[in-house]
Amino acid sequence: MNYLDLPKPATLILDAGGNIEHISSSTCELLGYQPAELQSLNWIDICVPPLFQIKTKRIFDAVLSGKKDLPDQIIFPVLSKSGDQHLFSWHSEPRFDASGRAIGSITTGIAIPEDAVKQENSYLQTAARNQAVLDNAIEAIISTNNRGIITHANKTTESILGYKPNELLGKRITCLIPMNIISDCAREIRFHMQSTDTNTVINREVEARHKDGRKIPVELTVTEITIGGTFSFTGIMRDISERKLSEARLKKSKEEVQQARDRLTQMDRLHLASEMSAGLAHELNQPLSAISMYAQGCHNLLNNSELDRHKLSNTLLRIDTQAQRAGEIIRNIRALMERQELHHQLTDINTLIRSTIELAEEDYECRAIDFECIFSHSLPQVEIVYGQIQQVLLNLIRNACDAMIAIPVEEKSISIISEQYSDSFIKVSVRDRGSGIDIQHRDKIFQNFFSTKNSGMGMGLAISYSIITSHGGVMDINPEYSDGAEFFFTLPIMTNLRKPSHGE
Amino acid sequence: MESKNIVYIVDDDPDVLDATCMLLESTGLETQRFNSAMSFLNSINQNSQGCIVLDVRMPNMSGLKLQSEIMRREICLPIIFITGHGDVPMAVEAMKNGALEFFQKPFRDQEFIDCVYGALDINQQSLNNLNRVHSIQRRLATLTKREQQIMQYMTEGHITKVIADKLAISPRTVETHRARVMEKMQAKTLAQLIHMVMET
Repeated sequence: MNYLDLPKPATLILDAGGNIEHISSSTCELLGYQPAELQSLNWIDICVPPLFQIKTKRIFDAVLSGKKDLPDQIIFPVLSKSGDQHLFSWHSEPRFDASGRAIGSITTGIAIPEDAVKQENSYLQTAARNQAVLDNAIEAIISTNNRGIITHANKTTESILGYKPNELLGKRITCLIPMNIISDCAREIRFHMQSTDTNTVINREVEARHKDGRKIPVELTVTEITIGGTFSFTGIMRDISERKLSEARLKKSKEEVQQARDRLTQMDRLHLASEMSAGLAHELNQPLSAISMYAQGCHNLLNNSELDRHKLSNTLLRIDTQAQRAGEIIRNIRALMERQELHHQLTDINTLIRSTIELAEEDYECRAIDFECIFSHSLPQVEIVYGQIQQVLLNLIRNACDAMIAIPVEEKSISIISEQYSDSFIKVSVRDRGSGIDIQHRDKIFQNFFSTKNSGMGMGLAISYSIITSHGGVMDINPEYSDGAEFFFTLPIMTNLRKPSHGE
Repeated sequence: MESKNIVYIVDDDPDVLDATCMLLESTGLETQRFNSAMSFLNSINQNSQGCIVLDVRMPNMSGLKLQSEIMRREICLPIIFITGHGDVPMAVEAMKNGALEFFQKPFRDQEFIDCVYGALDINQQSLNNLNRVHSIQRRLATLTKREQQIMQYMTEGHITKVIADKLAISPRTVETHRARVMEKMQAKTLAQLIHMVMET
């Protein structure tokens, strides 16, 4: 009786498009493929002989759409890698996601030995085949009678719920599934039976009880089966703990990404704010110190034995002037901030570079460095958000300073070059004499959080890059410059705004 | 030979410069204002007396560079720094190089004034020391070779008789020289004389 020596059944998990999600290794071996070779390929296109493809596709679609009148077993040949055909008996079940949408199929197949083909209708073989199909399903499949007593359980039940199939026979289904869910399902099935003729399939995610008491999240599909006028039910339970876990992980990582993004935005804002407040603090300190000293001076004058009224009144006027100066600074800053959010302004890039160098020289580290400006004059103006481009340039200068931290003061030098790049772009380059950029970092250097500095956040270049991009320019490294690092960015020229002196 | 105590103030911000001068003048001090490091260096020399108030951040030559230039020229006036930044490494460097104090704007005016007076005191004290040393040196210069010899032995603690033996002259002659040394050096006691010799 060679059908009792059935070869290992093939298991095949396909997605809704018929692409292979999983195929058992023994099947691969039989067909002459490496397991990885078939991953994600289309089963019907690759492994079904052309003659059978259309029919197979039709059956596959019928399985997915949940048709119930399909034959239990379908016999189809399969193509091996070398082109040989093997006859298999197939059984397919649809797989659903939480919302009840079909997401593919689970298919099991038994290779039919050449000499057994003739006996394919034999009852025994069919029964064995069915059992094999059930036992090799990745779902626990449990049938009950209409009173909820378990009449059958497949092998997989043990791996999911811990019970051997025989242990469950005669027990109530409520030992596996909580009572409230069972009565819920029963109510729904009864309701459907009264209203429609079609078979009812209930699909939901529930927690089943493992033999050891653990709660296992499963996807439960309940169908009712009528045999000879009596109802019975089959429940198919798929272990979704993995999926739940990965869902939880996904949710967590999504939250982390969001948090990182929030941090990023906040840091960007902080960066701007700290930059601005440092400048503001210094600017305001000047008149405030002057006011404070004048005021103390007036106080001293009043305490002197002889009151110099002229000097006193003169100093009071100066206090007033200084207060006006402070007010003016605040007005300017406010105007600057408004402009920064809204307006592009026509700018001479060389002026911007000069004012940025002055700003950079306020940094202690930048002060000792020799700045060399190689300006192309008669450059057309560019329409830019002044503060943003200034921030980009400032950032490049600071990076250049940091890159030269280890070299002797007299060798420290930063060159800033402005030039016409093409008809429609100008280019600004910043060169340092540091150790240069490792070519392997070139692709990563503009990414967030990438930094070669010990204390770097890896934010500066990423922000700069996005500022330049939003201006329609590009930012990159010049790989040919070898005395250090050269960063450059380009900015588009508004063609109608070119100086008349430029061009022919 | 009392020279004038002047507070030299160097700041590139004309308003702050004016206010600093006004504040110090209101307490009766004399000030001189400079809007750059160079103009200050051009008008100062080793005989200048007083103290210096420097702004750290100035174009062309920063306060720190100016400080090292002042030291290079051996101008020994106390230096007080003023900064608008809370720049710790700069403050550390300035103090290491011998700055008297480092004020961060805005500062308490009274503390600043006190510090300036303190600086002037320090300058005056070192000036006094210097003057005394100078005058002792002048007195030493009036001694004859023989008197210097005698003074050497006196400060080493030898009595007249021993000195007379060493120099092979009569104790009486030694006594005469001793009296001349005490008179020329304007020392009332031997202890005073020793103190003077130690100072030079």
